[in-house]
Amino acid sequence: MSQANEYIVFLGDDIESKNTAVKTLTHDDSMKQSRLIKQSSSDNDVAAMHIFHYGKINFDNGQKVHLLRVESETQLKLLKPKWENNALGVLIFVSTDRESPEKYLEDLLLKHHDFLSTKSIAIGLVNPSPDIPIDTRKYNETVTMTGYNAAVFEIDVTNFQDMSILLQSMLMESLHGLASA
Amino acid sequence: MQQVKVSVYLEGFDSRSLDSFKSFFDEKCASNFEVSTSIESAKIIIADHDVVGATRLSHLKLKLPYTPFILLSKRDLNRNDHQVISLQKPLEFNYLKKTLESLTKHYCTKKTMIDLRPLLLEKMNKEATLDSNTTSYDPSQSQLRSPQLTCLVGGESHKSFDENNPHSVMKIVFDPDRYLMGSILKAMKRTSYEKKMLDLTNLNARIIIDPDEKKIYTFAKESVLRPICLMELRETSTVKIIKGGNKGDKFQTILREHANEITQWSWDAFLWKLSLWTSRGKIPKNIDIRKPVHISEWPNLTRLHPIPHAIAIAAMMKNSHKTMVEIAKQLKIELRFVLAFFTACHTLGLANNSKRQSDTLFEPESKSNSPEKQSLLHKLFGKVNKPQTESPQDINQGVSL
Repeated sequence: MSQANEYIVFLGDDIESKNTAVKTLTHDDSMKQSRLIKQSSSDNDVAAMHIFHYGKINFDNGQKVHLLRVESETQLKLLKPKWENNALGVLIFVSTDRESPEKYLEDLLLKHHDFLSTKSIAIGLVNPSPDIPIDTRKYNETVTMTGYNAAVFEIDVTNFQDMSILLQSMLMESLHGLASA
Repeated sequence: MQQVKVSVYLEGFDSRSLDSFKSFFDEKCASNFEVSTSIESAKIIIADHDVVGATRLSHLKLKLPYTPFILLSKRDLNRNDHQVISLQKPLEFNYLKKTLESLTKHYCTKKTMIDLRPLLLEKMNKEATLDSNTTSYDPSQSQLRSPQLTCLVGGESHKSFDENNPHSVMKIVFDPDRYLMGSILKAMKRTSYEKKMLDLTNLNARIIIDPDEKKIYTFAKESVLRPICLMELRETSTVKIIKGGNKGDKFQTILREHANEITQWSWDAFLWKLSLWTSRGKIPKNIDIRKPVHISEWPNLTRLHPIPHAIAIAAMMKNSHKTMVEIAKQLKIELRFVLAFFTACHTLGLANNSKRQSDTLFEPESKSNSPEKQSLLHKLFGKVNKPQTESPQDINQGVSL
């Protein structure tokens, strides 16, 4: 198996949203196959890759951006230290119908501060009731209070445009405004 | 922060030689390099020419045109062409170390980025054009000159704009108070303070403002509202309180009687669009075009009417403190897009002139300094950046009742 060129981490405990988000971004319905877990490898890196890897965006020159799903502290630790520096950024998914979503976001940002503080991040608020708009400002306050600089958007994970804006904002944060584009 | 190691793939070496290289990287190169198990992901390839042979090397070069090679041989190959350096065995530690460092510096960063970018952008544009279910503007398309877009960001590109020329500046400013926009903003401020539902009328446009649910109700189609926003007010707006708020009989009766003509908006979505319709690529008169600007937070772009280059502008306004003219120049985009975006954000209370000295003292440090990584980011950005052919309702901006 070839190793990841670069990767984007999908963080947050809303697994279904993350799965759908990857499908939407990659137009890949075969995602389940690509995330089959093979833990028997003696190579820890390869094993970790199998655990996390569940999608990729391919480019003509053979380069790839791997999309990695992370659920637990243990998995995040496995990403360190070797791959940490290959992360393009992190997309965080928060379902707003969970209990205390702002508190969840705050806890998540603080818990993974060591990893996230050096990364470009964007936060998607998954709204199960699109008819009732989310007040993104209180989430922005949470982000600012915890010392991050990140875009926060209400998203529909099945909508390519929403996912595109989320990903673009993360990339743009990284590129500092696409100064050299 | 974790040190970034340059991965080196070793081709044509036995296990003992591999161990020697590992020791060399760890002990002589301060662990700046590491042996890669994958040739595709390696930044540098070291090959034993005497073992691998010319045919295999040609194949590898074809497969990995941007990866630098170090060829080792007992003979003097005298081959130091583009991205290929030959060294004679036995190797001098220091010389090999310097060669690796030199290759890392020149080829693992700048060269790779320059070589890959056109390929990446080409692919992105191709895929973006193929996507038909999107809602973003394609800057390369003629839609940037379309009447629909002119209604939002104006038609002037301001190519000859001179921020030090008062006549030039006058062309890009407007006074919101002279338009319906100013009247609505004042009413919204009042309703937020008094917590009462207001019914505002001027120029035959009727707008109800609900502070409890942060909703706006309009009674005319966008095609009617849009030109009204450009008309100067001749008299103050009529403002009435709707007793009982959104649960009261009066408002419920209005809803029933006008069910077919009412459009419901979120405050932000309405203000965003109202601002675009009114400003048409201009900024409020109280904003100093010569001073840097910033946004306090990203606007919720997924639920607001799209503006070309909005994401790039937002990222720059959030992360740096430049003037709008500088932002347009740096992004190589028309000034009208920056002005329109700023005014829309300003109307939402998210943007203003930078006033703190510290804002302009230091340039914030980018999180992604690696040119290689930036190249990939450009590629990814192009891949997800799609042209737009949306209607406002598609993105949940105005919901007809």
